[in-house]
Amino acid sequence: MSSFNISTRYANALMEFADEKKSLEQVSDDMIMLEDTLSKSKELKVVLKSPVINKDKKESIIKEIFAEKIDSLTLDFILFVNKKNRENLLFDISKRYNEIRNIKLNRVEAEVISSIEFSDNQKIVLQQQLKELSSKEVIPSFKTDDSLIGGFTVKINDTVIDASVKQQLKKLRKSLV
Amino acid sequence: MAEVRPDEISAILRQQLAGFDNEADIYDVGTVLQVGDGIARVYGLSKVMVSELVEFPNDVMGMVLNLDEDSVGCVLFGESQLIKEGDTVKRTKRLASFPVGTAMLGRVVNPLGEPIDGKGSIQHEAYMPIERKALGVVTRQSVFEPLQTGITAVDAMIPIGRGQRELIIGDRQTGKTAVAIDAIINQKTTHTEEAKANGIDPVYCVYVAIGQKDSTVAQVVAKLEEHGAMGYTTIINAGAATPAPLQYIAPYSGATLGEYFRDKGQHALVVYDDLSKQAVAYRELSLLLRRPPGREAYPGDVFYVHSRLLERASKLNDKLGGGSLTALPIIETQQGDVSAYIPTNVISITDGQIYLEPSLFNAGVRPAINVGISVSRVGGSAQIKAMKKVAGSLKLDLAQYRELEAFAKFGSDLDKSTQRTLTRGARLVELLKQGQYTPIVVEKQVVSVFMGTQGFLDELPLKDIKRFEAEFIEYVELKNADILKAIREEKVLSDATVEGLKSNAEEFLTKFKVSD
Repeated sequence: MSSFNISTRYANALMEFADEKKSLEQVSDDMIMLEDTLSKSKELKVVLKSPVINKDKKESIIKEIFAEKIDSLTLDFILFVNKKNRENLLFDISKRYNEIRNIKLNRVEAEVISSIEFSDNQKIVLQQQLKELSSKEVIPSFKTDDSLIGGFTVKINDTVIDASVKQQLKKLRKSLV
Repeated sequence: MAEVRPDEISAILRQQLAGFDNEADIYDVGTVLQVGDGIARVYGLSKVMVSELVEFPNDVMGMVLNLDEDSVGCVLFGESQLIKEGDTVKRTKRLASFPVGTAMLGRVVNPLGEPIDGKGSIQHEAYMPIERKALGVVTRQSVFEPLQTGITAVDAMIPIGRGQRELIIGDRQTGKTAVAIDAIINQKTTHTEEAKANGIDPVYCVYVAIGQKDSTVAQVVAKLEEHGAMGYTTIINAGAATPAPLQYIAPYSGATLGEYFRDKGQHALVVYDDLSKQAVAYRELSLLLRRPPGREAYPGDVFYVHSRLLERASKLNDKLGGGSLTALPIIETQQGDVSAYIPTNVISITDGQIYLEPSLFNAGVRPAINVGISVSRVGGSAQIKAMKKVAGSLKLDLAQYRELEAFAKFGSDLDKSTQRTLTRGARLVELLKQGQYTPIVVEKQVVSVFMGTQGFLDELPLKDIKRFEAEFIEYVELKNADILKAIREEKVLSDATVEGLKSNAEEFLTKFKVSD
């Protein structure tokens, strides 16, 4: 079975179980935190993926890092995944969990890259516009990139709305040559 | 010196840029997960279609072949070294397609339709997808017009009709390409005013070179130019150095261009040279895409690869304009093994095959066609009546000759009738020999086959046959051009024509000097 299928199955199981135990909100927050932690800490990812480090060692590492910070249910889940030898998929599972959760709540994440930082007012207007456009609740994350020269790009799922000067220059070049 | 005024420049620039819209662009993207060996796995591109073109960085194009649950498998039409993990891939929302139009004639292009002959850009009419479904039963009619190859042996015994698929098969160095090139060169006669007057429609040609040396293709182009055949021919070249995906799509591109002419009610001839190399290219990329290998490591759908390509050859019914697309696929066998996987597949798909043999080739019988196992399933309906009449006994005579040929080797005493069959056969074999790039028009073919089957050559020594044939045709052309004209225009062998030919032959035989 592909890793995609496996992570989907684990993520769905966790979601159903958390819903049953009435701690869905807490678990969901934990999973966002987990994805964030794993994407930031390369070392942790390497440790989890390494076949050299044994299961017990991994368990104690996980406990030490997360014990205080997350719900006991989430911690149990992580340890269960470890016990089942799927700890290398932990990042995929957390990612998939958050994706499924977003689809259920009719939410999408949007990556906004602009040449200069948006003002708070601009951010609110943009969020409103994107909500109308996608008919979903949009959670934007803002970044700046000088190479755009001017304007901005928004990436929602696989679709990019490109209103940057860089892209316009590229198009102009294509129409001329 | 003429002066260039700056305000003029800005006016022109403004005018040029007026049509440029600066609205936001919306496109779909994915990320490269893995790249290598001409294959890229892409994450994202969630709405992409199979066989859609996608754009990688550095102007490398790719085509989507696999849609998996969590990734998309693409083949690259450029170098994989230019792409790295994490690169952004863009959808083009355009299926892999080929530019069509009459401007393509006379050009050498790659399988994506980009010119590679250094003659500048091509003003094409439209893009058509390279993968099109073959037409159904109701849109077709049976093949009846001949597609003259200019090779007597083929036109007399293995006639090819417009809309037929005739396989040319044989070992390496047996003259497979030569047969196809001669057929292309002979289509020149269909583009003349005379042909128009006789109701023969022009045939446009497409030569698809797959996995061949670029030097070989350059020679073909030079030969076609030399014989004035490039004017109605397009060459699609996917050379040995081009990536396997391009070699794989090349025949489909050729078929698309042929279909453009067919759908306009015109006639097209497409040569696929050769499909065994295309199968090898397809095997390569299938294995790289991790599709399971089958017999000879070819993927399971290698039959479908060829059947859907050759099924596009067709003769349309009159309601749709009566256009046709004739396909001449070429297959190279190894040591004459026609029972290998790819040869048997293609033999079963096509409407007959021209089998070329190295032993005949080395014995000096060129074109080295083995008429015993070469067939055309369309048969006589794709011949003019005159040819049908004279060729009937030709096949029979040759078959009897082959049967007795083995006996002759013992040198035992042979009865009269056996000897007669042997002399006749040997003369007919000699008569069917023909030089490369010298296609013969059908009325002259009829005359020479007539001479052979009527026994006018039986008394002549073998070495004089070809000279006699050439001189006799010249004689008829000069003295009694009406005979040739009658065959050409009436397309039948009337009693008067037969009488005329016989009297001419008898007269010429008395004048002909046998060499010593």
